[in-house]
Amino acid sequence: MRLKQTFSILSGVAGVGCGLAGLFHYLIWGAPLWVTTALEGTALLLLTLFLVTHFEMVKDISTRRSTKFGVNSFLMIAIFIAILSIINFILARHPLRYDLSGSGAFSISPQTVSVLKNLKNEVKVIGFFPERSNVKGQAKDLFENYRYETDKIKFEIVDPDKKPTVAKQYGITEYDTIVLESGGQKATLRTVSEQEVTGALIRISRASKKSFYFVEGHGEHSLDDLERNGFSFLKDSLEKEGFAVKKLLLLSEKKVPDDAAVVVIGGPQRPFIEEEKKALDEYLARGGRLFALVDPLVKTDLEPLLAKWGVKLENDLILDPGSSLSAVVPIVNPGSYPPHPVTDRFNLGTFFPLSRSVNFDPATEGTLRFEPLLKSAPGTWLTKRVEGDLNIDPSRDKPGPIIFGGVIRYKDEPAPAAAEAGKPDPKKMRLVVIGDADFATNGVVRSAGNGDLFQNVVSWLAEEGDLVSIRSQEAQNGTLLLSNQQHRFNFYSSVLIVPLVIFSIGLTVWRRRRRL
Amino acid sequence: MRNIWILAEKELKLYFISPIAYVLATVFLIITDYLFQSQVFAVSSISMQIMRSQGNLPQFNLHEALFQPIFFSMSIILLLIMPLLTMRLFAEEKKGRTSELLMTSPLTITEIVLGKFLAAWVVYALLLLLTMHLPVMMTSFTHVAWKPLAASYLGLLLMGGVFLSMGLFASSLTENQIVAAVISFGILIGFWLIGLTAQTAADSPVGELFSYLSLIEHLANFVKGLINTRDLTYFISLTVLGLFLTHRVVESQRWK
Repeated sequence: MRLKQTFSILSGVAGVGCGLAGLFHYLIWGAPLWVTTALEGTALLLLTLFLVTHFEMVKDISTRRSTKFGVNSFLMIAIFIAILSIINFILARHPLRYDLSGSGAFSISPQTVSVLKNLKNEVKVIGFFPERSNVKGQAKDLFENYRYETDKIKFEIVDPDKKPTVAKQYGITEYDTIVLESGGQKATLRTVSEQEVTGALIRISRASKKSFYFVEGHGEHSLDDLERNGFSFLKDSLEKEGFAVKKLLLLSEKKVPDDAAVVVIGGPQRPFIEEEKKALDEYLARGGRLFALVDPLVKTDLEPLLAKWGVKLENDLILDPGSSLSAVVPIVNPGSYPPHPVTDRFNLGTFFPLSRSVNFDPATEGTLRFEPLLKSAPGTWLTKRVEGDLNIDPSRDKPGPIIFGGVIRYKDEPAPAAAEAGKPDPKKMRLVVIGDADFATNGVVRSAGNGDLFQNVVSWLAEEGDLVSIRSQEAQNGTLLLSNQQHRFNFYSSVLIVPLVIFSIGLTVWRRRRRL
Repeated sequence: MRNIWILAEKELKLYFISPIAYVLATVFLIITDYLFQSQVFAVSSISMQIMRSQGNLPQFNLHEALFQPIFFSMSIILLLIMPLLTMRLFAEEKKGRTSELLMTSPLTITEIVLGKFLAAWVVYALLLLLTMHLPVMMTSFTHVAWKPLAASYLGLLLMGGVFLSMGLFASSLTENQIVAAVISFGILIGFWLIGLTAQTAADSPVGELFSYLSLIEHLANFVKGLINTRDLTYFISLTVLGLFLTHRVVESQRWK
């Protein structure tokens, strides 16, 4: 009896000690978690042992009815609460989940899971959300899903109004922005979606950033130009997303660097020479990704190169009499983009100051395939008289819709690898041509969806979006529209009839009881 | 086990021959139905507006738009009426001096506590069952997603366990039913409000602890359609704690 009592008290003391040690370890160091878990687990065992043996002892002496009993009871409640807390602590750290939401709100795609499992460094995620933010809860749920799969992600929410210094430190200018930071790399996101976040995770966890090269030397819009005609805003937003943006002087480099994920020709004003075109041609032939923005009314000599890959450019101009901006600024309204992965789910309009048509040369039909990307509205016209007055002449001009942006790629393009893009393959060639470059300049890039379109194109070319396929979350959506009559019927039948039925049952029972 | 059920049956009979359960159910249903129908009306008129301006019927996640708000409202109404269901369980026995009979009966204290708890929980579950006519009613107008609804009801059922075990504990403390009800209000509203404190102390271990303790944080997951062992553990732990405390109090009365 004595021995048992000593043992029981010893285990109680040791249990409390272990519990406290685990608590301190968690509060002070936080990691590694298994130490805390092990300590708390031991504490749980010891305390349960104490409670069980103690219960018996209490029963042994319960005949005495001493005041000691009150103390015992108090002690037991304390121990019981401690045990429950430890169980909760351990299970809260290692939860199991079952998603019944039907919308997939709590499930993430297998691709994301494999990205998370392969994370080597810790990723710090800061969501800059004001107190009343519409997407805060969504972001919380999303990162809770991520954290369920890995402990490498640390998510915190910062209110930019309450902590303006932190927001400034990260260069946050807008609400609802998320910053991902890992091993010196950073990515800034403006949308909360699994696809975007996982894409950013892949980008920042790479050993080196993906590089976008902008060709220079022919009067292209400059990355350094902060004025209306520059591409500096574009450069900023691409860098914020975690890409490296570099200049490419083809004349001195002779060839396109091997690390180029995408090469952009941003509105050249002067002709390219043969060597430069050869370098670009070689780049495409080894499976390169080229994004050519070619303004109308300029001589670039790029036509033969593009024609070799099946793109036909002509000296023409699109006129859009219905445009609210100007007759030479065709507008593409949301929902009127031809179906393509680049503009899939893209719900913003875009406009293109001065644009030429982009067509496919059927002669090259064979292994290559052309996919239209931009299409002007039905009321537009294509004119070849690019000088003088720009009146529409139905006898000579071609009625719209006119295609002025498109993609060329191989029909048997290999499927994008789920992980990093593998070795070079000529069949991976992708060429996007748009008949206008001004739409991405500083002056208009932040208007409507112009900047987003450019980013969509380059990230599609760099195979960013392909890494994560998105599940359709619309399966659970429904519509609800009740006529006034239906609504009144609903309202009265549920607010009056159902409670009335319950109430009358009660009344009947009560009256019958009273009569008895 | 059999003893628990016998006692629960006796308690259930008491619930159903007294008017209290019916009055509670009537009031609860009127408020819940009213709130739900207003929500239906709101969603429907938003649909109407969008259809007029854009020409197509908007797509909603109906569980989110329609049912999530009603489950939160229901949980608050239930928090306010459940103490009225549990207040008499022990207090009445003490006042009516029938507790001596119960204590000297061959039933163990655990059986007594569990029996009373079970009876109250059955009544609670029936109340929830009655609200099922709302989603059933909606099936004729739209597609109802039953899975997240099942998760939501499970959440409310488990949360009810906390309401009732805390109420039982409060009832065991006193012989005055009003006092018992007030004490359980206090405990439950405390667990409810602790989430607000958590928001002000966010980003600290204390804030994390408080938000873990908050009833609403855990219910929110169920209502969104997520069943998480974390939330199950929380609700079950609090229920067991309430029952354990009741057990201690009732036993202490035996030796007092």
